[in-house]
Amino acid sequence: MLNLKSKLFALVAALLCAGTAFAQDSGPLIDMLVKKGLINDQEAEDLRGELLKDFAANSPAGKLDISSRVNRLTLALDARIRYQYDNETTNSPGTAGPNNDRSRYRYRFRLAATALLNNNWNMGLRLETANGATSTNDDFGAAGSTNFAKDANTAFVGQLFIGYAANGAFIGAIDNLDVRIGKHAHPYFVPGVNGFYIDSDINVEGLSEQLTWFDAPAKGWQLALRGGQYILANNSRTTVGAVFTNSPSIWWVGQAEFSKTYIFENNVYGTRIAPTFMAFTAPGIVSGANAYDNFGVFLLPVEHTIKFHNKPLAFYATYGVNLDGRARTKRLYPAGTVENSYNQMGNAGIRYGGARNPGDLQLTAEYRFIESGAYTNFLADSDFNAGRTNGAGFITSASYLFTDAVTGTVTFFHAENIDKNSPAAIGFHKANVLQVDLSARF
Amino acid sequence: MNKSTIFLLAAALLTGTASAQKLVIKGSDTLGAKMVPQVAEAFRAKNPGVVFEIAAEGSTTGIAALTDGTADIGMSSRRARPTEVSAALAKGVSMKPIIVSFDAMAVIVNESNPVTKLTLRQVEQIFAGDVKDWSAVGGNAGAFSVYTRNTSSGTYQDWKDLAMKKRDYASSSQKMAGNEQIAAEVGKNPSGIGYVGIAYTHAPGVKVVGIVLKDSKVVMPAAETVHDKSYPYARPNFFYTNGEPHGLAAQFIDYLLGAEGQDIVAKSGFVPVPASK
Repeated sequence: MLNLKSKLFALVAALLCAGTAFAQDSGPLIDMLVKKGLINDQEAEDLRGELLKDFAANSPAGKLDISSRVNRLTLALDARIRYQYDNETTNSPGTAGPNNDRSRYRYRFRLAATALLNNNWNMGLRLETANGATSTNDDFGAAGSTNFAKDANTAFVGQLFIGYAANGAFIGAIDNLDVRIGKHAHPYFVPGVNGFYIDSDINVEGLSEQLTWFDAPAKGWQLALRGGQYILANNSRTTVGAVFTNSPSIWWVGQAEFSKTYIFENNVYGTRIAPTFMAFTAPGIVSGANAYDNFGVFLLPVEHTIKFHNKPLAFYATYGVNLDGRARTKRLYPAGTVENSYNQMGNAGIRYGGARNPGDLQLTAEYRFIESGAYTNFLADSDFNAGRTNGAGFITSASYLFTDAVTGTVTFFHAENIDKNSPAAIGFHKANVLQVDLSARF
Repeated sequence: MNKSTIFLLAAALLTGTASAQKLVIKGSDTLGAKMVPQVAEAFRAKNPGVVFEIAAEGSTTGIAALTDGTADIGMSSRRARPTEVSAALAKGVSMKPIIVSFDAMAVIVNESNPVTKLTLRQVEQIFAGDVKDWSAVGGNAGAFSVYTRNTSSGTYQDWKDLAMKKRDYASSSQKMAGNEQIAAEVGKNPSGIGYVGIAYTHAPGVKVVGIVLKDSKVVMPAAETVHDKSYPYARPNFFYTNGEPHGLAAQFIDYLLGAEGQDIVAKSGFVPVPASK
């Protein structure tokens, strides 16, 4: 007949062998049995050894060797297969552009590793297909050597950053502080399809700061102050006579978001309003159509989401004006050909349905416009009017979540010139883009 | 860290006797610096045909050597990690842990320091940098001088696990190469505090502080408090073998765990394994 110790030992072994996750948490239980004298140290060590072997052999986690400096490591991958039809007609009659009537078969992936380190630090790395600032797409059939070759299929560093995020920073003066330096996703509130005024594929390069206070400026509200200083050129300099002078080229962004929101079934409801200002100081960079000069843009994005038939119904809009838009417009047009300042931009849209839970269907319709001198085409959403200014039109989109990991999306963009007499390079006569996407992520 | 490699060659080998048996032991410098060579010397006195090759270059190297089949015994001052166990299993090595001794880490302060005991929480706060001044824990006013092992030491991580809830050390803490250096610095510095193995608690100028447990009981590092599990900063030391030890390795381990071997363990400054109940 088994004695008490044998019974307990067998019971513990049976319980612990029931699951590898439980096995990893068994240390305190074994320690307690040793402390109570039910098993001795060597018996405890034998038990630990067997559990560890079981864990190592049967659990994927037992095969990962992650530094103790990491508190949490997140690996994420998203893949997208896209059919795209482009039909862009230029402002010059009879001149066909590369995307005049074109089917494109595209894909992208983004593979990210983000680590929470000790003492509120974090870091991340993300690899992406494509090297463009506003696109992560690569093309099937684009290999140069033979069919199905891989010589044009390359991964690039999309993000690489170090961050610090802490609650109660500066002796509680700031409820939450989040600072990030390197190449990273921007922190700004940008309502609209694909990020209206900052293309959602852009990874900013420099420093982002976010200071958040809860119950400010009133109870139930939240205030987030955001700032950004982003490098435009790594060797900016000006010349004074024969002397080169260091002249950093910076994109400056400031945003104050006031929000009162709540979450229901993974969807966010409530109100967000975020006055924003941005400008460039780029003395060392030559001006052009994509210029940094005459650019001081004030934007006012707002969004209000209500519950409608238990689904989110969002109304959103942005109004923007370039405070130096008249000068910018004049510079972009041939001398004496324009009197209008063309300094305004905006969007307005409605979005119904969630995009978080399996079976969610989300429908979006949006109107947007960007006048010639209002903005810059290296920041604007590149899918609408190819990111160019001097365009107005609409976007419709429908997405459906087959599972919480797999989504199908169809989006159509249509834009036309605002000023039909603009120079050829500013806008398109018409720009239509159809995108059909199948995406999967974990 | 001491990375000495000690080769003890039996007289039989030196004289070219072909029948010499060789036992390769690699791993922890904590165990391999003094204790294991002394036990090996005593074992060899009774078994003159045995050759020992002892390499003390860290616990990680011992587990790796056992996995690679280049050692009969792996010494380790810590438990094998899951990835080490899975790597060994992939090579057909089933690691068997055998406790050969215990090590108790004592909290030491300068002998002039009026503080005689610290709570578990206070120890964590001092080493993590939550408190800056001795007056916060009942001592004379003056900033702490915290001494720790350097980051490459297994003890550096063990202390975080045992005493600091895995938190980081205070940024102002000073990293020392070994027990002797920590004891020497604390012995010279009235504001010093550090941790050492109990073999080093008799260094000049230092004293051991008691640890106040949650039930207010004060415990000191000693064989009794390690054995009854009341001392919180104790850890077992291991030999690892491939499966149950056999042959010469089994003979040596039996000797080490026997009365003579454990007597040497105690004289080396470690806590012997308690007799089986």
